[in-house]
Amino acid sequence: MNFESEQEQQWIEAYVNGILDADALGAFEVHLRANSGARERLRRYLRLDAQLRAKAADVSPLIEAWQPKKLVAKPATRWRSTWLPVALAASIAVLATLWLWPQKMNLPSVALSESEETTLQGYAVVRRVLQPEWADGETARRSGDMLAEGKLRLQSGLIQIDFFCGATVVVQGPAELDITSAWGATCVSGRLRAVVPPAARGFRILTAQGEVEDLGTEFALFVQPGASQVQVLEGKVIVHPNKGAAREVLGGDALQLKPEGLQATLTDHSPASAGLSEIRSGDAERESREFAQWEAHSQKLRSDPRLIAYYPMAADDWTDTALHDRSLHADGSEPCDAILLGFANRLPGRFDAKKSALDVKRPDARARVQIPGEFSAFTFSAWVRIDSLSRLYNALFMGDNYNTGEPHWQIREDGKLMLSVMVDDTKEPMKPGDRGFHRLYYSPPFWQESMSGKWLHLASTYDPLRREVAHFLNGVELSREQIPDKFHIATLRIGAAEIGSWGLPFKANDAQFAVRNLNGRMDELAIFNAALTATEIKALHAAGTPTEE
Amino acid sequence: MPPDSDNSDHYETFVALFARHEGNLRAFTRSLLPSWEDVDEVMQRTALALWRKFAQFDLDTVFMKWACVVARFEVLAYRRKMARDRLVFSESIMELLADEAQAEAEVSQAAALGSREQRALDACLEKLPEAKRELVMLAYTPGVQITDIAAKQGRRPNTLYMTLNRIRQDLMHCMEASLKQEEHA
Repeated sequence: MNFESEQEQQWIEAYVNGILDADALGAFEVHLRANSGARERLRRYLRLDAQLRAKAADVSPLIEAWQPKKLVAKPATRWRSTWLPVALAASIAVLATLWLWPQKMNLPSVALSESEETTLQGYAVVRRVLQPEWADGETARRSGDMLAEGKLRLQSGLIQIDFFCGATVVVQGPAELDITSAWGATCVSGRLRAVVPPAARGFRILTAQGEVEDLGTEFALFVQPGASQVQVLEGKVIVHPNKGAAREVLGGDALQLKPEGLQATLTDHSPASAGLSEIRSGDAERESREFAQWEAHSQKLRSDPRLIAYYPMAADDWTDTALHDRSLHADGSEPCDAILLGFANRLPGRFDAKKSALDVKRPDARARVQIPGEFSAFTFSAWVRIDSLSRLYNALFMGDNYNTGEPHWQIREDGKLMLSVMVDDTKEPMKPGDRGFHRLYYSPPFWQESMSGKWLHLASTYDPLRREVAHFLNGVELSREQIPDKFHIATLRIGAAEIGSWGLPFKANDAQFAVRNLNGRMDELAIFNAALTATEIKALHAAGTPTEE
Repeated sequence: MPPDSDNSDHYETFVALFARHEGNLRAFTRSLLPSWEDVDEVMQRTALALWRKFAQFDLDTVFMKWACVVARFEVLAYRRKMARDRLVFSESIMELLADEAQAEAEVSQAAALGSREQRALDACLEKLPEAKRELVMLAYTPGVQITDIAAKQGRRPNTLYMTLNRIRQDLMHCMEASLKQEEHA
């Protein structure tokens, strides 16, 4: 194996030896993130490490004889064939005892493994950002990002942080904030404004000169080296200087916090930083602007001759019982509107509800289309907001009976995007319960719990000519895979199909159907008779992205 | 559903499956964690979690695939509880590495490649000078610290690390050459 550089070699060797320091680890991570080859080399090196360890554990008796006692492994760390049976026996004993225990025992809480519960890290969430510029090396924070403890260095612009205790803080750059808990942060420098409802009383901001404790409502803070200014806009705060006694400050009053203690009234009265109303109105303006941009893009997209169908779900669709296919159909063919059935619903879509989105999460909800014709390739592109991947398969776009040439576009519960086309429905299924001869093309798992409720752009292409299937998330290619010869099919069809569900599976006279309704919303769907390039997919994503994502 | 502790067939099936895949599973875990002590700890938890959930395991699916999902979960849970001063990959890098390692482990030839590599490693270890072979085996023995070996031998730990780096590099080259030869044979 050859390393890409000496530096890479040093990082990998030091990491495996356990002697990489914190700074180097950071640089190594940056290298790994950007470089899949480096990750592969690290895996290869660690595989050798694992093989050597397995080998050494096997041959260690020889070494025990050869080496002075002190170096010999403690029995507890000798893993092979020692701890497993012991651990298992112990667990079986414990479990067995519990099952036999009389009714008093709270069985469900015991039986439920604590490791099954999903957890995330965070004290606060970024609610809005407005024209932010971040300091060098600082992660760009976006709306919806979870914040655990750590520093935020904003050079300019505004960021609204909702702390989980209930306090809302708007920070105005240039500023440096260090989040310490759900109940407070250290303001190293810069301006902020905090709104603290009764539930969050006791929320604290620490500065170099002292601490500001909010007893309800709103205050502004301007932290500079040497002195910080506290201005109470409404309600009451207690200021605890590092030196001297704490003091209550009431609405309308201002104070200066200095290393030597508190000083009253200021001659150079600094204006309070921007607050919630500024960031909210800035946000609304941005949303209008982005919506207008998207509308222009969407208008243009309608005349793309490669479109099979296009459901922009624009504002005029809110009350219709159909999702209109807005593609131009320049060849004179009929638009393929989707009919909403059962409890199919409309919910607010992207751009702060300026457009609608389709909701078919109930098993009795359907959005059905009938798309005639034969096609030579597919691209599916959709904006979705997934609440959770609660089904084994979560439908995006599904051909009814999955006949020869028909597509299935969906997400598996483990977060893999999947696209398949039936190659030959007359052949024997490859396993019981399945149908015909076909192949599933998966992306690597892309889903993370933290994506829940965020708008994502998903796209997949099926290209019989190049014999490739590709998957994309937010304009970035997740995977590209060859179509093996025996699964090649050139003539594609859609026919009857559903958006976000799969209501009429294999047999016509069977009332049973698989529940694959997408638990979330879809607010734009385009189907092309072509495999779009990675660049085109990237452009589709860029044109439709609300900045909050 | 709780595992049925009376069902010894069930238990034996599990132990057989676990034993067969333990090596690969440890390698998978090692690809995510900074030290063997961490791996040992997480493997214990993973083995228990797998056994607890074994009743839900569908024997028609691939054990290794299922085990990797469980192990990955245990690794992340363990990582969150690790001391803050420990040098460990950030969660996002870990997720990325886990995705790729999982995909790699799922490839049907992974096990076959593993045993071919193991054979190549055996042969290459044989080719090492005896002193080097003994050193590397000692260094990898569970519970042995490099600093202890260095102290015993009166050498600086850094020198020892460098020697180990070179040995690993030699082994890697030797294995690559012998695997390539095998391919052409």
